[in-house]
Amino acid sequence: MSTIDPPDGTSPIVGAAAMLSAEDRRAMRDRQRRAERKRFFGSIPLHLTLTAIGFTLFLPFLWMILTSLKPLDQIGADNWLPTLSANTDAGQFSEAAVDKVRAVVRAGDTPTAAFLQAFVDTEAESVRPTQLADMLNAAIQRGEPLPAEAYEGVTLSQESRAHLAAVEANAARPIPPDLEGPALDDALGERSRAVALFNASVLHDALPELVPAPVTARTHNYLEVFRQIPFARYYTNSLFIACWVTFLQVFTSSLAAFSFARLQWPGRDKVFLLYLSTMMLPGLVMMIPNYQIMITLGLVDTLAGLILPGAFTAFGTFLLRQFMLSIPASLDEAAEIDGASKWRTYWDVILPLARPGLVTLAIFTFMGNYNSFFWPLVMLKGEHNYTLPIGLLYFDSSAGQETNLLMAAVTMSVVPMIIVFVVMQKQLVAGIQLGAVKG
Amino acid sequence: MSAAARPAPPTAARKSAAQRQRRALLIGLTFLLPNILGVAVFTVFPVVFSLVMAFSDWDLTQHNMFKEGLPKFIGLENFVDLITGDRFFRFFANTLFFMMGIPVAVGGSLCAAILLSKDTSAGGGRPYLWLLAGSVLVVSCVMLTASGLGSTAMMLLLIGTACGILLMGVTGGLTFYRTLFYTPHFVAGVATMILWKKLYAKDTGPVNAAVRPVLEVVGGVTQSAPAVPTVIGWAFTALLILLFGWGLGRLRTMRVEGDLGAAAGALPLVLLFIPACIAAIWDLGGPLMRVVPIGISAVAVVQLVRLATAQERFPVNAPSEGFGSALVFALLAMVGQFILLGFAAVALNLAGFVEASAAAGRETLIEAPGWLTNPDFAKPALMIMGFWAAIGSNNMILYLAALTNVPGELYEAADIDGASPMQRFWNITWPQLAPATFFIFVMSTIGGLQGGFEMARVMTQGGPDGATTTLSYFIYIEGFETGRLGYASAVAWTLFILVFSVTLFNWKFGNKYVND
Repeated sequence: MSTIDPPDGTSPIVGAAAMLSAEDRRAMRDRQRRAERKRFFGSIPLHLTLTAIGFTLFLPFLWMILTSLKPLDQIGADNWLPTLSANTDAGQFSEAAVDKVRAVVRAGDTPTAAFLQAFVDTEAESVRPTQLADMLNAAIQRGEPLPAEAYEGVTLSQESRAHLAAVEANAARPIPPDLEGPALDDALGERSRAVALFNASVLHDALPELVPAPVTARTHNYLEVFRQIPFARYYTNSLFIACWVTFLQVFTSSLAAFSFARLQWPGRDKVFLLYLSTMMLPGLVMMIPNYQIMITLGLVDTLAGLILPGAFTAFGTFLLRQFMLSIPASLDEAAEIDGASKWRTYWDVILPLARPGLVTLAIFTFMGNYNSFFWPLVMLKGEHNYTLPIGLLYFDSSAGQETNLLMAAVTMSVVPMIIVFVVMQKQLVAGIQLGAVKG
Repeated sequence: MSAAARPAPPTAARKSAAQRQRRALLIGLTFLLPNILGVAVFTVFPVVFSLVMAFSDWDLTQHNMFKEGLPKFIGLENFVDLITGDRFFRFFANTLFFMMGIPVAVGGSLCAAILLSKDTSAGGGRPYLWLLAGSVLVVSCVMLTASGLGSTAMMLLLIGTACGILLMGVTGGLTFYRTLFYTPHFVAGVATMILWKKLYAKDTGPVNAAVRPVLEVVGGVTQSAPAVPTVIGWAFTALLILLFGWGLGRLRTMRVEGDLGAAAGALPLVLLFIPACIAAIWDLGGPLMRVVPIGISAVAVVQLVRLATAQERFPVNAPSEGFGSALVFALLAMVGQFILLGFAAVALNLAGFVEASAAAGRETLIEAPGWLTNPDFAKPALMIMGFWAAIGSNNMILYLAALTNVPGELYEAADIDGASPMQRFWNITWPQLAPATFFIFVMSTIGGLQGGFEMARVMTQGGPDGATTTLSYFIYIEGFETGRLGYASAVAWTLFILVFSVTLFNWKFGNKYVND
């Protein structure tokens, strides 16, 4: 696009310029530079507009990623960024770690463990990670710094000492009595936050393997999603369905398209018209009887029941037929003269040439089925068969207020698609322009 | 097939020809078989079957295919139910309401495509890149500080993101921006709907976090100077009437210049009057329901007089001529009028609302709305989300392709004639894009009539109070939740007939438009 020459002097124009006098050359370069500058500054408003649109469109994704890294207590804060949080949450403990913490606390060998006995229930039959996290948080958020005897003999880390200094500085500077409203809330919140951070940090110093240190970005939210729902299973199911539908669709459609585009047989065009007319039929009309068919075949709540209805469409046949029509007829004739069977012609001549069309159909089919919602929603009952969209839908209702986990799950389902899109976008754009629509 | 039944042909040559033909048929059908079998079982049979179901009392809880308790044939009862009940029409109205977003979304796609089609390659001006990014950094720092947005770190993050996009845009040009615009559309689905549901959350959502300070300012201004929103409201009303006048004037010009047939002008004309009728019927509060119809009638009379007195310069060829472009103008003007009507109603009612709020002693004069839980806000909220996903959609790609096909000589000629950018757009770009626009509108209409299911299921459950239930969600509820498959089939077939007639109508008039 750019016609500006590289500065290394290899371009023919610069070569020609070498024959000119130095002064002319300078004038030419000046003019070139001025034009370039003008073009650049002229394009600034355009770039700013485009950036503004792109930025606005990108904002939801930014919020999504940042929220997926937040601890639960920072959901809904005005600040989008996760900030250093004293609270621990369940995702930071494995089941084994829970028992370990309780064993240490029950033993009460160290001053800290003895201190924690007031908070952690060591008698209960079993404790879930969530409950343990709540108990530790109660100790952390007790409103005042841990007493010195609770961390006797523990060398405080640099962070703990910094938090302690902050707590002491706060204590030395009482809140002005005339402060009220949100300002008072802010001041109090800041103080209790400093205290909580100190407590968490000290607990971590004392029991480094058992109590996690305060962190800013909670990457373990992602692990927690996998622990709460069979997310990997959803992925596999979605990929499995999308792959099978894509394979069947591309294969059967290309066979049919070959028949319509490259073979001569009586009644062909009439049958094709019939095919075309089925494209008009709305999907919604077919869903209800298809559901009845699936009940009859016993395919409700199976992956096969999701694959079969999507695998055979008139649309794919139509798209590929249009594509195959553009391949010159002389190629089949040549193949025939060479004694190739129709199958050989299809497999060795036409299919390789129709590759762009096949790729387009494959991408659209794959994405459509990876994302499909209505049919799986109707068909799937058991969690082990959920596809990604259905799993997300039910996770949305079960996760409740845990927006951070929900956003981690959403991020994990959106990011692979963005990557696929960035990689495939050339074919995709070409495919759309081929007259295809998102299927 | 029939050739085989006949007596053997007299000559060997003819026999072999018939045989060859039969062979060709066999081969052709063999290739077709896997696909046609699937299509027959999972497309054609269900469609026929659902037509049968639509005339039966098939109920998922009582009947099962080939099992006891066969459903009864009940004739047209389902359809009668549908027409006499008010639910179908209510949900159809919801669907139409959502479809009003289509012209806006298509307009957005067109704008994006036009911006992208400009040459965005900035050449080798690397030093200027940093200058540009730096100045954006400074300007946005100042703006964000002035708006009082959040902590320093978040401010820096937002600015950094903007600068990053800008830098990548300047270096990557068209491709980068196109990727960025298209991404929301590409990933749109359940995941992004859950994302938006959380963005719209009443107390914890970032949308309301951004809206609250604005509402505070608006509330404060309204309380101290109640005249301000009232004046703004009347300004919106004036704009509405002006927009109506523009649309009608456009139709009149087309008529006078022989570009618009009588039959083709009817529907656009009706569309233009719809907002005024709604304003007259609905209680929008205050004098709006009188002023808008009166103002619009006055404008209409003026235009009518001008039409009657104008000399028809060119004879109209066919009554259906010019339907497409008139329809698009009318649609744009109609949607614009609706938007302005909404703004005017809000602004004119604001003073009273704030006064009542202050009298009740509320701390915040205007509460941030529950976007998905308030019947007045649910539909616009979903439309805004749809707009986010639709700007960079396939429509943008199609428009981009169409824009590159516009011959450059046309623009050169326009430049020589001294055309303004607006003239260039309306007289060259817009007519040249007509086929693309037509295709996009047909596809969007078909999609719009059948759409809205995912949004309703994931975000609002069709609520609040049925405000976001579209026809497709209605079919789902009836068919799969209450199990009345017969009734659901009847709704689905009614919807299909609607889609089909709209499509047929579009092809009949639209093809003409595209060929003009």
